[in-house]
Amino acid sequence: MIKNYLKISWRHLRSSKSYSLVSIAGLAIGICCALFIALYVFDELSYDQFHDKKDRIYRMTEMIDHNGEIHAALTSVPVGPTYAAEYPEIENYVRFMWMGGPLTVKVGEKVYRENNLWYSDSTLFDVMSFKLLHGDSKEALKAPHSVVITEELAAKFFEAPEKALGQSIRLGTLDFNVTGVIENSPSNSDIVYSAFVSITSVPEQQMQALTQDWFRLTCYTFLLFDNPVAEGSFRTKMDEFSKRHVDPFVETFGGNSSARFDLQPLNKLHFDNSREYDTAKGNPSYISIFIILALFILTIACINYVNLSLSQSIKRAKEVGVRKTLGARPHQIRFQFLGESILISLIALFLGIALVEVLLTPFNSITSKSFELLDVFDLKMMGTMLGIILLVGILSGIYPAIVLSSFDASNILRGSLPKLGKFGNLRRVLMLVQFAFSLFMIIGTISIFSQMKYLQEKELGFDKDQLVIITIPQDTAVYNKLSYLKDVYLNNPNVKGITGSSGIPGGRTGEIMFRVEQDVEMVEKNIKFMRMDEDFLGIMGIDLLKGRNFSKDIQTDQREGFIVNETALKQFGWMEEPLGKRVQWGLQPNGGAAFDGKVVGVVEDFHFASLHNPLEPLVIGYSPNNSLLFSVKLAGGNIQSSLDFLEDEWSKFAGNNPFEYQFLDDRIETQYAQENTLLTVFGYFSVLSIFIAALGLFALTSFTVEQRMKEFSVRKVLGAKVSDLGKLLGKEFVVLLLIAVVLIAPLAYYAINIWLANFSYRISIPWFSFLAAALLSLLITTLTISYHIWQLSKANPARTLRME
Amino acid sequence: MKTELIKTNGLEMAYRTEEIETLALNDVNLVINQGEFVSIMGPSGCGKSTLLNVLGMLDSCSGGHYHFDGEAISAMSERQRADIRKSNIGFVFQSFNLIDELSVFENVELPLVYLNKSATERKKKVNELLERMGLAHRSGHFPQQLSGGQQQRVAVARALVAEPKIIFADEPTGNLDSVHGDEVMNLLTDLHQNGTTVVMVTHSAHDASFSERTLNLFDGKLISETQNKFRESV
Repeated sequence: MIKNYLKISWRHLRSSKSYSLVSIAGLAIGICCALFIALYVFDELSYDQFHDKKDRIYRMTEMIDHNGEIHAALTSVPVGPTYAAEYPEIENYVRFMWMGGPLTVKVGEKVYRENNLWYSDSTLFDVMSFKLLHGDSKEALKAPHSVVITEELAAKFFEAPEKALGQSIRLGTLDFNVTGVIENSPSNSDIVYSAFVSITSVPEQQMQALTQDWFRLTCYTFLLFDNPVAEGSFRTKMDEFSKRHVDPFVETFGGNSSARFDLQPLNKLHFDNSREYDTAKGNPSYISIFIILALFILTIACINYVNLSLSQSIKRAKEVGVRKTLGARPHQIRFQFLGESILISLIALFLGIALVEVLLTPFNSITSKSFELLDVFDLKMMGTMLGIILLVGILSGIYPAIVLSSFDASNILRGSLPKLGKFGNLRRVLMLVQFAFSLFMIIGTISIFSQMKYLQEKELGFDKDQLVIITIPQDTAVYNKLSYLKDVYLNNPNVKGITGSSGIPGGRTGEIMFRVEQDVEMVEKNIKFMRMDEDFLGIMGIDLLKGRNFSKDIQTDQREGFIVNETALKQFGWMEEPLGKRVQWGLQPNGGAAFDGKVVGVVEDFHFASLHNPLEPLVIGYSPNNSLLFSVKLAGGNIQSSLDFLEDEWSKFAGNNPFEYQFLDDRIETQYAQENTLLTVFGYFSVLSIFIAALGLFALTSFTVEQRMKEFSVRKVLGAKVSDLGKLLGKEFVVLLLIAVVLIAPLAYYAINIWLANFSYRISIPWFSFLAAALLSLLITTLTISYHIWQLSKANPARTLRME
Repeated sequence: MKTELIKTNGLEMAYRTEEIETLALNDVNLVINQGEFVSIMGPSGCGKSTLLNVLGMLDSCSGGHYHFDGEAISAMSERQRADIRKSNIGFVFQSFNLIDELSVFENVELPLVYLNKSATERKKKVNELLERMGLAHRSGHFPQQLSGGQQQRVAVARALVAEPKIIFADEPTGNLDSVHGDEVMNLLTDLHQNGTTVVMVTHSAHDASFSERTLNLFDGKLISETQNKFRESV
């Protein structure tokens, strides 16, 4: 029996090639999208799950209240060892302390710039499951000046990983001994590394200071417990710990600050965005959005298949009639057609996988992942595919199966076409859902696009165009020649200006503890801080509102001069007279400060952080020679030749230090990488959903035309014009479309509002996105129907009526 | 002694729309014995096909009694009727109703598939039958590759393959020219001579003359009955 079903399904597919192509293509596209989303979601969910002891590993985080609360992913240095020493349930701990970067690495005569280097405890391999390929996992990170490098670095530095052991590399000014080669940082690890340096290499004096301070947020601390910790069960102990250690520390400088601790399970780390100073994280809401998109597009594809099957059902009616006459029971007919739709989904799955292979490269570039086709055949993915097949097969097959099995054999075999009247409403509902989903996709795309455009065009308070940002290596040889380089650059007429600073808009702006004058008191506050030279404001186009810029000629500016932004004025209550207000940083417990000065100028607010964040107070210090970044303002015209010039001159004086640059506008753009991914995915998905929905609409129209052919023919004979028939045919779809607009508009409005809440600076949802979505859908609907109206206009009504 | 295969008593079939009720069959009383060849004649719309569908258990009657091989059909469920139908009744339609996507062999095999016969048994029976009907060489062909007459012979083979007690033929020559039409009528006559009961609806007096007895239907009522002189195959 099954053989018979398979045979007839296959032959039917072959005999109705265009129908088969359209229905399989629609499903294949839907399945392809779903597979991509599944790949993405599984990858995101697999973050940090490869650690064998993941159920027992927790990251400790520190919440400091020091005139303003900060809940950081980092902790102070003593946290890990002290906890491990005091609580027997903590078997081990490991800390990761970022070494800064990119760092200059010298291997022999060659110079490299590397990122993601960490100081780490020797217990790294006891706690985490990063695989050490060469070397002794117990000893590798014990001795000072030991470094464990990745396979990739080992191959780059020493040609082959196995040759790396025992070799020496220079980080900054110190030599390190390669004691191990570790696997490359897994793509699904929250800790991204290229090398681990033994934490004992931190200069002793620095380490000593860090070890005594509970407020210096310096490292990520992971604790390995003997058993999984029940939520909240360690809370009391952590509170006691704070009282025992942090409170006496606070007393030493007489403040009323506090530090409390919290645990985050490692296996849930990737989606917890709640801590500051955290590593790059997954965005759980994007996972949900992507899953919803996948379901949307699969549903559209399924509905499409249902409509196509129904439009074919008249052709299959005779077969059903014959089968019923010959003894087939309704359930057997249902089984047959359900099986057929599962077969079609299976074919669509294979095609979908082929599509995944074809589109894998663009998908990887959109999502910044590195998937391979083999990943599709991972066990979870296979399970998903089986699920998709059954879901799509059953969802799309069940309705046509019920309709077909309900056909009345005696009528069909007498030659009358089956009427689908009672199923018409459900068919309309399906069409409505399809319209609604497509509209949602279009509205979403337009809204995200508008917000992104707004972000791009928003006045940021500085001029981001034609600015090249050059990273200055931490190399004293380079530092000493910076002013010489500046002069060389400025001699070129294409260079309009050059400025050095510690930070730049679009990058991370550090936050440090200040004391600022408020009323007559000095109050401690965490405030964003950057340093710049005297040319910064001019080149960046940042306006000075009050006071003056820093000056080379005023000796005291370096230690005693500060410029603040408008928001600082508002928040510190300095609106009346900001100039001369006292500011201190480099605070000492005895109440003194390394830098103690006054406000000399006020600048207009500029967005130094992304537009996700509201403006915050900013203090700017003067640093004429100690820059981390050079910003070079180029004249318009041939940018490439200017860049070539900058690079040529750089290589003359910077030795082997590579020329690393980025345009400021690109850098700002990268702040919105996640949103751009979302926009791209939404864009593609809406085009696909419209395409699939149009296929479905096309099929449904042809079905309607077939069902109402007699009526149309009679009308034509009686004098109806083609436009009358068009109205007759189109009315139903247009009404459905309008209902869909009304139904989806509030839902879309609500959903987009939730997304927009991520931004401190946002558009109000553009009303034209609803109108545009409706008009676009109407246009596509009209075009689709037009084909059938054109066919109707050519048809000879006499022939149809004779056949009837 | 003749065995009654079909017996109806006051058979009625009404079609209802919202406002009117049409009586397609009205108090039809008839008996068809095993081995008979009966034709049903009458003008268009007189209820011939309806009667055939009720007798063939594709439709259920709305009134009266219908006994098939001694069993009361009118009281049965759709499912019970389907079970009796598939093992006892063969159908031949005016428009052949072969499944285009199945080959000649597969079309003929279909009733045996629904009777859950084994593949070996199906193959044996279908091949024997196609051989007997001179269609063996067409076994792998598809319906579109055959002439109308050949298609109807395949349809007859399909009706016969499950060895039913009776064959219902609804205008079996309606779509055929006279040569192919006679071919089919000869086939039905042969079947009848070999003991198969045949009930045929027809417009054609020529076709009816192949049967033993003609029932004349008018406005849903059986108005007369004619005994035909049995004729040899032409």
